Amino acid sequence: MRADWEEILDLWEEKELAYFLPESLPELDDAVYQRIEKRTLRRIRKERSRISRKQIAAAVICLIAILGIVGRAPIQAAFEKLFHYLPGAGIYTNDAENTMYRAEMITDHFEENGVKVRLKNVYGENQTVKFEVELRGDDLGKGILEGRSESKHYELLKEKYKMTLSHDGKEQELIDVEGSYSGSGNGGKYVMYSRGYEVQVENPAQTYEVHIAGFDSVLSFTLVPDTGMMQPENIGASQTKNGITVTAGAEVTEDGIWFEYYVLSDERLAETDETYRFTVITLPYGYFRWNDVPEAELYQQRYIMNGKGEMLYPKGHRWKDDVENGKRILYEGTAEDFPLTFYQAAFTGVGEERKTVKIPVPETSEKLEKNIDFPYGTVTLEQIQTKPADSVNEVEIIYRIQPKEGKRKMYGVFMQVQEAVQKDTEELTIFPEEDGTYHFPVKISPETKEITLELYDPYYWIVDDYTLVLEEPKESK
Amino acid sequence: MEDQELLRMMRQNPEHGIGLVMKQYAALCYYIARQKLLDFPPEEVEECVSDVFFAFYHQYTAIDLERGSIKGFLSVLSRRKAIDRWRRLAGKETLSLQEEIITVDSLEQQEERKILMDAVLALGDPDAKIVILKYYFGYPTKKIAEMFGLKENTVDQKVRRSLAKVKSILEGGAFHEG
Repeated sequence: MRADWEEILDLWEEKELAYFLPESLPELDDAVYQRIEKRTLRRIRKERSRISRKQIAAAVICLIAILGIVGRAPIQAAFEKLFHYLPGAGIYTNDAENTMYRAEMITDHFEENGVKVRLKNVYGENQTVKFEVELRGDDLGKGILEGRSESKHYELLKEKYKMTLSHDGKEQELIDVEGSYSGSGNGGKYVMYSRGYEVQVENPAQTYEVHIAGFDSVLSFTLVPDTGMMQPENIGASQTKNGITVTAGAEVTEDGIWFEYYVLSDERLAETDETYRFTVITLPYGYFRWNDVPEAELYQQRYIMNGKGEMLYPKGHRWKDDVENGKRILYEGTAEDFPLTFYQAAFTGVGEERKTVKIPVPETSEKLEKNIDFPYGTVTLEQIQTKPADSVNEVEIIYRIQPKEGKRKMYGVFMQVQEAVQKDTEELTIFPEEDGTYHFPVKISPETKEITLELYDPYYWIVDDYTLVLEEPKESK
Repeated sequence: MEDQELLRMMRQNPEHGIGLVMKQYAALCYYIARQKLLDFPPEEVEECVSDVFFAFYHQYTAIDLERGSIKGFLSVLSRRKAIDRWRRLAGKETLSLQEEIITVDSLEQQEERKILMDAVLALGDPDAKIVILKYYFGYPTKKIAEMFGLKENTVDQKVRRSLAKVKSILEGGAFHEG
C-alpha cells in the first residue's frame, strides 16, 4: 500500500468519482476564464486550419447521417444560387420561367394528445406542391419503439404518423422526400419528428388537406398563383451590402422569440449554412475579431442582443429549422426584449477559378518567384523545399497571399499536386505562419522531377459585416 | 445545459460546442488542476486547464453517457493532466502525456483504489463528500461550507479528522470510531 493516500486518489476513475461529483460548481474569475478559453480556442483553430477536401466530404456525410436527413441535405442551401422561397415573406424570385404559388393557410397548426403539429414551408412551383409537417411532443415514439433496433425507429415513426394528402376530391398517401427526427436526453425519447413532401399535381392552385394517422384534426391550406418579387424586407429588417442581402425578423410566441434570418447572394458563400461552416471551416475572420466581440462567447459569426445589450440564447438545439437560405431559431425571450440587434460578421465567398503551374523539384531548396493572379488576391509562390523521407520525398511549398484592394479580399486557396503519392494531400490552409507565409506539404516519388500544382476554390472575405435592428416583433400569424 | 445537448453541439459544431463545455466546466477543471499545482504559478494551472479542454476536444466522442458524464470525464482528465504537468515541473520522472483516459490497471492498483474508496465511504456523509471535494476537486473551504450549510471552521475540522481516519485505515487496514 502506498504511503500517500493522494497518490491513490490520483488513480481514481470516473466510476469511483461518480458518487462524489458535485452538483454545485465553483465560479471562476472572468479574466482567468477568458485567458483559458482564448488559449484553448487558438490551439483548436490552429489545428483545424488545415483542411482537406476529404475531411470536408466526410464531415458533410456525417452531418447528413447525424441529422437523419433523407433527400435534400442542409448543405444544399449553402450552394444555392437561385432563391425561390422565403418562409414568412413569400416567394422571392426573378426566375420568370417558373410558375410559383404561395400558400394561404387555413389550419397550419394544432395540438392534440399533447403533440404539437405544425405545417411549414408550404409553396408550389410549377406542378409541384412542397411542404413540411413537424410534430413535437414528449415521447413521439411511445408504444412503438420499445425493444426495437434504433435503425428501425424512423420507419416505425413514419408508420405511426402515416400522412395522406386530400385534394381535388382525391386522397393519396404521402411519400416523403426528406425527414428528420431528434431525441431528448431522457432515455432516447423522440421529441421532434418532421417530414417534407413534394407532390406532383396537375393544377396546384387548389385547397389541400393533410391527414395524420392518430389525429382527428386536419392541416389545410390553399395554393394561389403568385407573381413573385415580394420583398424580403417584409420579414423584418434587411440590409444589402456588396450584393449580399441579409434579412431578419422575429415573432413573439408563447414558446419564446422565433427569430429567422436569410442570406441572399449570387455568389457561392462558404458559410451560408451555419452547420457546414462551423463544422468544417474555422474562420480566421472571427479569430481576428476576438477582442472586438467579447460578448460573443460562442465565437459566433452571428448573434442577437436584446434592448439592454444582453445576449439572447437559443431555447434549445431542437428548436431550430433549417430553411432554404437561412434558419429559424427559437430564443428565450419576450416582447420586452425588443428592440433586438442582429449581428452578422463578414461572409466568405468561394471563387470558381482554377489555375495550374508547373514547378521543378529541387534537391533541397529553391526560391520561387511565381505570382498567380486571382480576382481578389495574388498568390506568390516563394520557395519549394525537398526533404527525402522513407521511399518518398516530402516537398513543402511556401507561399503568400496578397489580397487586392476592395471589398473582397482573398485569404485562402485549395491546392493539389497532380503527382502526389497520396491523393488526399489537397488542402485549404487558412491560417498563415507567424511570418505571414503559408506552407503546403505534399509527398511525391523521388523520381518526380517536376510537379503540377493546381490552385482552386479561392476563399475571400466579403469584408463588411451586418447589423440589423428589429424594433418590434412581427405580428403572430 | 444537459450533457447530451452539449455532445450534440460538439458533433454538429465543435468550436461552438467546446465553447459551451468550457463555459460550463472551466471552473471545475480549474480547481481540480489547482489542487495538484498549488506550488506552481497560476499560469501553469491555466495552461493545464487549456490542455484539458484541448484533450476533451479530441476525445469527447469516447464519452458514453450511459456509463458516465461530461463532468466525470473532465474531472478525471483534469486530475491526470495536472499530475502530468506536476511531474514535469517538479522534475520528476515524466510519464508520456496520455491523450486518452485509458488506465492499464494492475491488480494492486485496483485493490488500492477499492480500499481507499471503502475508507472514504466509511466516513459517511457529508464527511466523505467534503474530503473529496477538498482533496480531489480542490474546492475552497468557503464554498464547501456554503454547500453544506456549515461554518468554515467546522469544514476544516471535518477535513482534518476525515483525513486522519482515512490514513489510519490505509496504514492499519482498519478504522475504529472514537
